[in-house]
Amino acid sequence: MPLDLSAIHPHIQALVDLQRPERRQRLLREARNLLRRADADKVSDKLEKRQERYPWLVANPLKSLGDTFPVPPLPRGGYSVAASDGSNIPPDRHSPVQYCVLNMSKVVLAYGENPAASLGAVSEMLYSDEDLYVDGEPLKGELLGAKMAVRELEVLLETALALPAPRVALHDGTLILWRLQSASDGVRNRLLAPFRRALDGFLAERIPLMSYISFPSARDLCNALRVALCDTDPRECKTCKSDERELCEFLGELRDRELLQGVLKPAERTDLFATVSDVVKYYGGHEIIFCYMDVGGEIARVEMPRWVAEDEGALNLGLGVVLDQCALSGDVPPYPLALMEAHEAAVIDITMRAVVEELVEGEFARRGLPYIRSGKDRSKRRRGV
Amino acid sequence: MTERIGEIIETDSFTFVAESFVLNRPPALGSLVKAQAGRDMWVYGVVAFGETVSVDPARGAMRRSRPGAYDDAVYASHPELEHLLHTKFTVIPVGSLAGGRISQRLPAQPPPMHYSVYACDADEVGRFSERRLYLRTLATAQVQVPLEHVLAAHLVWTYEQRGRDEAWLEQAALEVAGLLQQDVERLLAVLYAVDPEA
Repeated sequence: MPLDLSAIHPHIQALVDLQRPERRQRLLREARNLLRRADADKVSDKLEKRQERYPWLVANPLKSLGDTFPVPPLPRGGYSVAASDGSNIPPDRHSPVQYCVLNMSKVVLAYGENPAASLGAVSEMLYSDEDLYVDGEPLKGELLGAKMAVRELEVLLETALALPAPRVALHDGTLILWRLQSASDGVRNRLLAPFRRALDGFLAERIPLMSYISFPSARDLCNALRVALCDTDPRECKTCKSDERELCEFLGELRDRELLQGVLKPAERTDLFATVSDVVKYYGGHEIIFCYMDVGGEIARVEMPRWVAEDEGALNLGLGVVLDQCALSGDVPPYPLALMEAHEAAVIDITMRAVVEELVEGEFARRGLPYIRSGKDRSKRRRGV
Repeated sequence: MTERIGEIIETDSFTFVAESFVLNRPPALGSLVKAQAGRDMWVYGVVAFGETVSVDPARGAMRRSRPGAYDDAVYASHPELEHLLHTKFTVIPVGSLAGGRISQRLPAQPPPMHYSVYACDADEVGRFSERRLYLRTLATAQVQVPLEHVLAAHLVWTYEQRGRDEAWLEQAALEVAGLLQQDVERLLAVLYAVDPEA
């Protein structure tokens, strides 16, 4: 019996209605109106005067909340872009020997009179206790993620330093290492010291560092609108009697990219915002600024150190390169080409993972040492019946 | 020494494949090339196939042109393509050179992996093609390409390298006719393709 499409069709309509109900459209209109008229100074004042932090991440506007700007075209004559991404083989609890492999890509694309490219990676093996533990904490999960982010930024700086100006460094993902917020002081210090040094390096050489977040799930700007709406305290949300409660709750579930869809036109950006994330306090004075940009089919978030946001030339060059790299990707929604190649150059595929393990196992065998994996791992691999 | 044009990336007794040093420019179809197969030992072969493909088989090539930026401009705006694509060519071994002596027998060993492939200059082509026994090796090679077109391309290319040697072309065409007498369609394909008037 074939599928009865006539029975399903009305439900498809209902399903779509459910995604974009009238109420959502109305609240979105109200939210976008609020974005245009909300007082940025009032939000900043509230954020700065408040003794304890808001229970949400709030975008702190440098100037306006709702102004938008076209990203100016790049100067003629080309540019160089450096990009880095990372991949790793984490320590394996079932292995008789503990090690970790990090692979950070180094990608350079140069445009202009002499177009050139270089695609490579820096591979490292960590195996000493000093490397496999950060202040007593094992290097895995979120800690390994933070370590990768730090090494990627270091490799990115090293790669970008070799480039002629105009040059831009592109990083994938956020510069806000929020996972380290709840880490111990020792862990945070050890991981953030090289991160700070890398940020210092970008500043010293005036290399615009742009960190690109595709399809961002952040709500910082929506939360700023909630702060603008709120006349009481967010601790009292449950008993709030405000007329704006419906809009406020809606903003609490809305993502910035949804708010900005249609507000930004292609190749336009929002104004600039500072993050209020606590971890940035440990960045040695390097505040992180961000904006959203319509890169042609997607609202992306771009983060940068404050000095880039304050230097109009660096800001326009950085955002222009991000847009151009998106256009060069040829995809809709796009993704910066240099970051795409950085990802490809960083990936450790399943074959290479097996090769690394075989090399370790082979070296054990050559020295006449037993290499015995855990019984649990062996049973999973063998899967006998 | 003539120009190094590629490096061997697949090799067996009857064919070898080399990666060209220049993207999109494999040596001419039907041209004679050589690869070192050992000390003082060279393999001669005829280029039977050329292709440009993605280095990573899991990443296919996709359209890169934009209005107003096509052909050469694609490469100028995508410098990474030089690293993501590669040009390969397949060679059918047809003879060897050992101790300075040319032989139209296949070498005992395939050329080693990662060794260089060189172009042959007109003098070397002239010396190698003086005898034409190798045309039989070429005509009977077991490869997945239309060999009659490789033969035709080789005859025309060699004719040019030999300074438009009509007598050589005539003899070579007769020999190919003998080799392909059982298959008139393939023979006609070669003869039409080598006719200087065609």
